[in-house]
Amino acid sequence: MAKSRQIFLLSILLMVIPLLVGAQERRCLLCHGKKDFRAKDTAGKERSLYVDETIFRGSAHGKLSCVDCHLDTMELPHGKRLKQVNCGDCHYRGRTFGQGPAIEYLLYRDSVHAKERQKGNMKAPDCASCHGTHDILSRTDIHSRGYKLNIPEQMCGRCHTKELADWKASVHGPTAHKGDLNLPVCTNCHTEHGIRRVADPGSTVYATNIVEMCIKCHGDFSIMQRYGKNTEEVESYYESFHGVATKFGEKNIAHCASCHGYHLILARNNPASSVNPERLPATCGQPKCHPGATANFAKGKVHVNPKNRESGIIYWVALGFKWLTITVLIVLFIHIFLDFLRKVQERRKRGA
Amino acid sequence: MANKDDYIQRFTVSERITHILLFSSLIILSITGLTLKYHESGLAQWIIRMEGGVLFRGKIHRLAALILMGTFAYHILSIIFSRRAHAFFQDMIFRKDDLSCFAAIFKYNLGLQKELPAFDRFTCIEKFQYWAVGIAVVLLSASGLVLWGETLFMMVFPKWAIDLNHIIHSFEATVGFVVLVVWHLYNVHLNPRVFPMSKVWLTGKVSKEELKRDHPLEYERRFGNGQE
Repeated sequence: MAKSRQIFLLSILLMVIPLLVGAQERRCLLCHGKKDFRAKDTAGKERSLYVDETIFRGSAHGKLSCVDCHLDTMELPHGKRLKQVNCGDCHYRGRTFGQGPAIEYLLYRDSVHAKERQKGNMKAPDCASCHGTHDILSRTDIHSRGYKLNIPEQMCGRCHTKELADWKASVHGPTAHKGDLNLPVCTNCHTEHGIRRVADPGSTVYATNIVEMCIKCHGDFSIMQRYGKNTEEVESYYESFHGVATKFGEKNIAHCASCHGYHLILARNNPASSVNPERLPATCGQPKCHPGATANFAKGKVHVNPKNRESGIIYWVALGFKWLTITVLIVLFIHIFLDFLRKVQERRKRGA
Repeated sequence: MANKDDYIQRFTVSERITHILLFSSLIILSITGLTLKYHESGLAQWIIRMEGGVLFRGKIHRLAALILMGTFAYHILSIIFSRRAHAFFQDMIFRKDDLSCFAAIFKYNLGLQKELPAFDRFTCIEKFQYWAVGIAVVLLSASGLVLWGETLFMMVFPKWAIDLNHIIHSFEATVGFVVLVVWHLYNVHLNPRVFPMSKVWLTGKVSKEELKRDHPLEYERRFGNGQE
């Protein structure tokens, strides 16, 4: 009898546990499910503590329960303020579920954002500042903050407003690309989690690295072709003194952005563009570059490639010199060969 | 050993120093210049690093250019003011028979002609080398100065002119380098008559025998009709 009672109790328990787990969510939502559930935060500012269950269930973490992330919930209702959720509990250390060890966490740790927070600047973003909290969606979801076209406005641009406005007005902005997914957003140049200061040599946009960023697209003919452009600018840049010096690690030499700008890159025919012929002298004539540059700086192609027929006289003179060199070499070698034979002969005769 | 009297003075001390300054600045200019032109090759990249980077390489290049231009100016001044240098220059001027001289040398080397034409103080090959270097130095100095003061230059000339100037500087230098390295080094080093090296550039002296063989007309002028 006793045994059958034990089995009965165990099966009841097994049936009840899932109900209890579900019930726990119910219990959290007893308070947090109320739209007007509010409390003052440490700064004394009143904040909503409402969690929309539908949104949470539809999010990337919808299958988790509240206490999977809010680990310090020991009793319900929890009396004291809960600690901020540490995303790294899953996204770095790895658990039985969750993403497991991920590089993003390490990249973020060395980023300018994390370093600013360490210094005490709490305006710098942590995970939730960009990704959100209960409403995180997969980046492939068109409504996600992390969806490529949403990144500038919903993530970076919320703080970096000037950069956002510049980018939106530029040739790289959404107006110029009309929903085209090939456009570069913030993260294409600055990377996602490991963003660093421009002055940091480890930054992807550091003076000697930035060209590599631009040529990801501008050096790729299959991409440029779609916009009726080619990759000649990149080739001619690398042939120019600016390009060679940058490649050898000189950081005070013109790279793409020195002339074209950073966020507000405009087409050459736009009068506001830094490379518009009208404004080019001022761009070249920056104090640390070519002070005193005149309008003559704009007379002639800038990205000139001597190997290209379109370069006109420069192409022809270069070609002429190339053939002159080859002819001189051939004539000299013939002459030397004959002269050498003759003199060897002479020597043998004399020796004999 | 040959008697001291068997030798004649072909180059003075001043001429030898001019030559040393000329070739040492040209060697430095070639190394610092060509490595920039052929920056894609691994060897050039290694040399540029040895030279202290792209920008310092430029400083070395300009310093050597100043030495070269100084040497050139000294040469021009001595042609004007020194009697000996004036005569040297006059002997370097191409004459009518220098045209046929090139053809004759070619024919001789092919075995179509038994004897070389009788040369005076400078053979047509030596004259050609002198003028080739002279013209190259003028062209390269001029275009180099333009590159040096490009902003100044572009106050008057458009950008395409400086691009053209750049092309001329780099390609003219390449032609000059090819001629010097291939031809001159052959003539004074690998040439079986002088291998491993003609010592004229150091001693300034040539033997009478050599003079008679290489410059018979001059020999005749100096020592009479070979009866000596």
